[in-house]
Amino acid sequence: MEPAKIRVARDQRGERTRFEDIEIGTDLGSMEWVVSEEMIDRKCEIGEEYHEWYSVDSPFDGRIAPPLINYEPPRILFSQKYNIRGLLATYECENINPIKANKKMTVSAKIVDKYIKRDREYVVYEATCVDEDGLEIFRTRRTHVLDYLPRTTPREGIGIDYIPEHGPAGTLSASRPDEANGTKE
Amino acid sequence: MVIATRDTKLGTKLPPISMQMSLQKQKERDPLEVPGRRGIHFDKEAAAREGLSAPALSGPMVAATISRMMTMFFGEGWIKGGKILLRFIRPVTPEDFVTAKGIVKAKALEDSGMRLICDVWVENQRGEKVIVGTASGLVS
Repeated sequence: MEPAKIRVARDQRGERTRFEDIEIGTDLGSMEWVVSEEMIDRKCEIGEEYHEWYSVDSPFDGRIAPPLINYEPPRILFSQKYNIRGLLATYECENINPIKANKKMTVSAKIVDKYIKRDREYVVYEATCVDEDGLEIFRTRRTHVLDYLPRTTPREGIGIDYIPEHGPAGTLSASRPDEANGTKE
Repeated sequence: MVIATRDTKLGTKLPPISMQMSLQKQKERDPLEVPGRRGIHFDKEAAAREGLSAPALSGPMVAATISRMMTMFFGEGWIKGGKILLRFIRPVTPEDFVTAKGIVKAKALEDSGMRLICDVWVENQRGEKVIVGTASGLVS
């Protein structure tokens, strides 16, 4: 199959969010996040990231998760607010404290920048994670390119899609500012 | 096994970590596991509709090789106090074999200890860099 020469305009969620509709400073909301031991096992298996700290015990009082397990929650918050496609362009993170199994955490995110570079549209979002004891776990900043194709490419295609209603495995719930205010998109 | 110490010399190479990528790995990584689910990371048609010539594996899955390398090199100093900044510069396909590499470039004294700053990257089987960046960890 030949790669398309048009950008996706619509998908199963409806019209895609346009670059112009994303506002810097937008609160992406927050979500509760608990990493189960099963999630750690799965992460280790997929990334071939085996270590006794992840599978048995660690100097941090119990099993911990590979740091990159933190990728998903902020990305989910981004996708819940906007109908986003595209690819991760940059990933920045500070591992402040280990991610422990079965510890309740809260991840909060917001849009902090957007720009156009080399004819592509980029959106920057940041997230922080604290656990139930108020301990900061990580801070992250990501840049997401909205399309692989240049922004001057016509936007009229139909994308093959994710099913957005589901979250990652494990305990997960999310709230958005609009829901907290009793409104719905 | 932790390798990095305060005495680690600039120019020291980090232990390379390799991984054979595959569509199966990408599918397993997907947290949704919904029957019929498709997407640019593991579906050729979905990828083609976005202008990609092949499925582009997710960046974090590839970047896991760097995290493995950092864990091996720094141990606790990566898990607690590690910092990373990566740029994903080229798509990785399911057929690719990738290797994470790194080299110690600088040292910095902080309140929490000595930080070793490394240039890190992932290259494919053709020697093309697919991820580049810096990562650091604390040493005692």
